[in-house]
Amino acid sequence: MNVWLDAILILVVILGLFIVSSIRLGTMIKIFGVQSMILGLVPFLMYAKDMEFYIILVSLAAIVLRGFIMPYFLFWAIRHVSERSEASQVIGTGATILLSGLSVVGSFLLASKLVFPVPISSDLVIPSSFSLIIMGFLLLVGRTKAISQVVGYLVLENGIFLFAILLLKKMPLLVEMGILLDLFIAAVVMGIVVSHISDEFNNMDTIQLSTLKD
Amino acid sequence: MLVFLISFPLMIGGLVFIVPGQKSRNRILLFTALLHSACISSLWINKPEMSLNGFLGLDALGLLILSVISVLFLMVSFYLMGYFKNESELSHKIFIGFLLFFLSFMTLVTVSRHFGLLLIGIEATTLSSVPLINFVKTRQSIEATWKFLMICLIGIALALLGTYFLAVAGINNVQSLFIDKLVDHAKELSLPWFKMSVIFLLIGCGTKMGLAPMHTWLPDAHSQAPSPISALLSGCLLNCAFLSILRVGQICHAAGQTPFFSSILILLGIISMGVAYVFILGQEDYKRMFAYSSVEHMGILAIGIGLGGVGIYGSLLHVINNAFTKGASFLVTGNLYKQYHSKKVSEVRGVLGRFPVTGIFLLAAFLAVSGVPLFGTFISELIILYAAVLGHHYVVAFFYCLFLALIFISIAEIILKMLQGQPAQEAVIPAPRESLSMILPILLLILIVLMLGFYIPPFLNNVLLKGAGLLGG
Repeated sequence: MNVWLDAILILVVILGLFIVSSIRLGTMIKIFGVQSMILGLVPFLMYAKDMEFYIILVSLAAIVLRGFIMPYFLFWAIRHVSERSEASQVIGTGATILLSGLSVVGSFLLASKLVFPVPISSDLVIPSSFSLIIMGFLLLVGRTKAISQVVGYLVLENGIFLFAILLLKKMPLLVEMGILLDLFIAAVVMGIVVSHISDEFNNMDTIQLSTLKD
Repeated sequence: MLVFLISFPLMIGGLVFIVPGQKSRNRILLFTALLHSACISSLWINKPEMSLNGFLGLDALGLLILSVISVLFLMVSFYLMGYFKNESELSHKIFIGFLLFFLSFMTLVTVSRHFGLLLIGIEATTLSSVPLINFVKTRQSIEATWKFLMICLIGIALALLGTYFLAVAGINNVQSLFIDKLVDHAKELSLPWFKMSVIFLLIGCGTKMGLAPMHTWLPDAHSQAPSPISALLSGCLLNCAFLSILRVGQICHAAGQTPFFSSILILLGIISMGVAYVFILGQEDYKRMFAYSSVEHMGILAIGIGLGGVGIYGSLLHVINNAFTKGASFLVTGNLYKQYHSKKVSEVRGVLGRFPVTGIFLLAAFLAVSGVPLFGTFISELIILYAAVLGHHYVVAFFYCLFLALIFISIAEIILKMLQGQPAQEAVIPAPRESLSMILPILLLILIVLMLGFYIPPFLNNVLLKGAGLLGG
C-alpha cells in the first residue's frame, strides 16, 4: 500500500512541475484538475486500514470540487479570452522550473529537520506538500495573467490540503468541510472579479493593473 | 444569544435582496445595526454562556473588539443614510446585503473559541467585503479589489497552514484547536512545530491586519472603496485580524514563548511605522494618506502587544481609540469627496472657509489621528511609550517617538494645505451642504475619542484590565 501512496505523491509533485512549466492557460487548468483528482485519492490510500465514512466524504468532495468544478469554472472564466498563453512572465519558464526543482530539494531538507510527532504512513507527504506550496507561490509571483495567478493559488491550496490529510483523523469534520466550502466560495468570487477584469480590460493581464501606486 | 447575534444580520442580509425600495433598505440596515448594538450592550451586563459545544464564547478581548465593531457599524449605517441620498443609480441591494453579511462574519470572528472557526470567519469577512470595495466598479477599484482578494487569500492560506502546524504541535496531547484547551495545555506543545505555527499565523494574520511589509493591499483598498466602507475596513476588519493575533499571543504567553512572539511583533511594528512614514510624506491622495496612517497605527498596536506588561493595556485602549478616530477620519473624507469630487490633495483647498463643519471635523480628525494631547490616542500612545521605557527597550522607544513625530509633521503639512488657501476658480461650484446624518456620526465618534482622553469609564477599564490579564499584562 505504501508503495502506491509514494508513487501517487511523486506523481502529484511531477504534475506540479508540469503546471509550473506550461505557459498555455488551458493546459495549466487541465493539469491542475488531474493533480487535484489524484490528490483526492491520497486519503483512501493513507487510511486504507481504518476507513471511516467522513474520510470518504472529504476525499470525494475534494475530488469533485477541485478536480471537476474548479477547472470547469476556470475554463468558463477564460471563455472570451483570445490570447490563451502567458506571453510575458516575470520569471521565465527555465528559471521557474529550476526554482521548482530547488524547492523540492529544499522541502526534503526542511521536512527532514521537522520530526512529525506521530508515525505517518509515508515520508513523502510533508516534502510533497511543501513543494506544492512553494510552486504555488512561484506561479503567483512569476505569472502576470490573472488566471495563472488563480491556478497558482489553487496549487498552493492543494499543498495545504495535502498537509491537512495528515490531520484528518485528529481534527473535527467541521474544519475540513469549512475549508472546502471556503475554497469554493473563493473560486466563485475570484471568477466574478476575473470576469469583471476581462470586461474592463479585454485581457486579463495583471501587468495592466498598475495604476494604483505611490 | 451569540448564535442569534451571528445569524440575524445574516438573515436580514438575505432579506434585503428581496425588499424593494432604497429607503426601506436603509431603514432595515439602521434597525439591524441598532439591534446589534443593543444586544452587545446587554452582553456587558450579563456574560453569555458558551454555545454550540464550546465553539462560541465571549471573553474580555472578544467583547472589547465586538463592541468597537458594533458601535462603529451603527455610526456608519447612520452615515450611509445621507451618503446614498444622491446616488441612486448604483446597485444598493448587493451593497447593503453584503454589508450585513460583513457584520455577521465579523461577529463570528470575535466570538469564536476555535482556531479553525476563527480562520473561516476571517476568510468570510474578506469575501463579503469584496463587493463593498468594488462598489463603484471603475478600473481602479477593480484593481484594488483584485489586490485585496489575492493578497488576503494568500495570507489566510498561510494562516491556515499555521493552524495545521498548531494542530500537529499538539497532536499527542491536546488534540484540539479550542483556544481554552490550547491555553491550558500550552506547555505540552511540541516546540519546533509550535514556533513554525506562530510564524505562519503571524504572517498570515499580519497580512490581513495590514502590517508592513504585507500591507500592500491596504492603501489601494482603502482609497478605492466608498468612504464609509474604508471606515469599516480600517476600524473593524483590521481589528478582527488583530484579535486573531491576540489569540496567538494568548497561547504563546501560556506556553512561555512570549519573547519569541514579542520580537516578531516589535520588528513588524517598527517596519510598519517606518513604511507608513515614507508613504505619507508628500502623499497626493488624502484617502491613501489616512490608509497609510492605518498601517502606522497597526504598527503601534503590534509594538504595544510586543512590549508586554503595561503595553498590552495601552494597545487594547489604542484599539478603541484608533477604530473610532479612523472611522471618523474616513467619514470626513467621504464628506470631502462629496464636496470636491476629487481625492487629490492639490484639488482640495480652503475647506475651512467653504465648509466650516467639515473643515473643523477634518482638523479634529487630524489631531486625533496624530495623537495630540486631549485626545484618547495620546493617552494610549503614551502608555505604550511608557511600557517601552519601563522595559528598557530604548531603541524601540527611540524609533517609536521618531516615527510618531515625523508622521505628525507630514500629515500636518498635507491637512493644513487642504484646510487653508483659496479653491481653484473652476472648482467653485455650488456643493451640497452636509446633511445631519453626515455630521452626527463623525461628531459622536470624535467626542468618544475626546472623552477617552480624559476619562476611562470603570466598566471599560475593567474589561481592558481583564483582557490585558489574558495576555499576561
